[in-house]
Amino acid sequence: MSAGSSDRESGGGDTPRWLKSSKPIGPYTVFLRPLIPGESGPPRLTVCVNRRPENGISVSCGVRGGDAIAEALQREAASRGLAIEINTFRCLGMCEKGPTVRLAPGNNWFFGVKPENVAALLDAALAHFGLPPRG
Amino acid sequence: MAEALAPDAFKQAMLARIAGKRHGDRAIVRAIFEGKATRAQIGYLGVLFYHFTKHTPQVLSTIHSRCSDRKIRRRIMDVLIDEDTELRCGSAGHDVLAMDFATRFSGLTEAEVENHALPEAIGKMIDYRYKVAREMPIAIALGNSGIAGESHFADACRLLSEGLRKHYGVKDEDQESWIVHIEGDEEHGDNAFAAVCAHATTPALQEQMFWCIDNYLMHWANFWAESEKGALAPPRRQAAE
Repeated sequence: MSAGSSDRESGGGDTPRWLKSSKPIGPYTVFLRPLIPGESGPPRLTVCVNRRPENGISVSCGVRGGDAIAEALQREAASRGLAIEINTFRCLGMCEKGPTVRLAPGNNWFFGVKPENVAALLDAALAHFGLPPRG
Repeated sequence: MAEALAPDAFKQAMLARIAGKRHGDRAIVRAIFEGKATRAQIGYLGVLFYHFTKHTPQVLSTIHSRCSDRKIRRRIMDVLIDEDTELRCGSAGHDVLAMDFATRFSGLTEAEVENHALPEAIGKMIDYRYKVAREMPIAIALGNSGIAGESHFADACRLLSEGLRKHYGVKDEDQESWIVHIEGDEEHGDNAFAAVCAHATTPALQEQMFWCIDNYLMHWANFWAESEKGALAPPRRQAAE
């Protein structure tokens, strides 16, 4: 499915059209994929918070709200009594699509995340691992 | 090859050459993923990867300097900025990230990593990269790295990263060098295949692409096999004791 090709599919008008998504669940782009054999472990979310100079040339997740997303995720997880690990990271390498959140184990990504999206993001992350939305 | 393959058939033929030789198939990658590699093997991999990575900007700029198509030059420039600076991809140039991992994991100093003895196979791999950059048609030179080298690198980095974290206690922040290469979509690899299919439309060019894929995969196989040897020099201060 070439999701993200229309505003309706991507759930909002602010998702870049060139992004493709396997499972559009909100106003950001999501790639969720099965684990490969041998990959296991509790789920963890890593939020990119890298900050580059705001010079109009470089983009970075930190400048676009990475820290606020990490804090919102931690608050949301705590309010649900979840023990899911939430980390921040210097740079996940996909700055132009950020703010970026990686869900591991596996090759799972959320691009263009905003603090107001974290509840849906957490729902999707837990559902991907077959876990209940609350602890 | 009497006639050029159609783009789809050409892409399938390239994929067939890569099958079974992907980075993620290599024994050392699987061993790290499964926690069976020794710390010396991983440290040595870090050292070798640094020495591979530090040449990438010059390989890219060699291709850039030969390219007369400004649109392609721009794409090369973007990758060069990714590789050599902190401006687009990663919190530092990729050689800096590779050095960071190598020193943290091996316990060697930057100077010790920089001056570490390199096996002949790695020297040949580096020579091969410059040769391709200098001598091959631009599309083939780009395809050499984009298809044979990078299109399946993200999966290996994912395996390495998970293994390092799970079995060797390496925190994510201490292995940005691998994590920054885990890709969130297939766009990167797809772009490389599309570019090569669009430009390599003659039998001669397609043969050159096959030659590059076969040779670069051989060098990569040697790279991973060398890592497996774990020939890490002890830190100088330790050796002196």
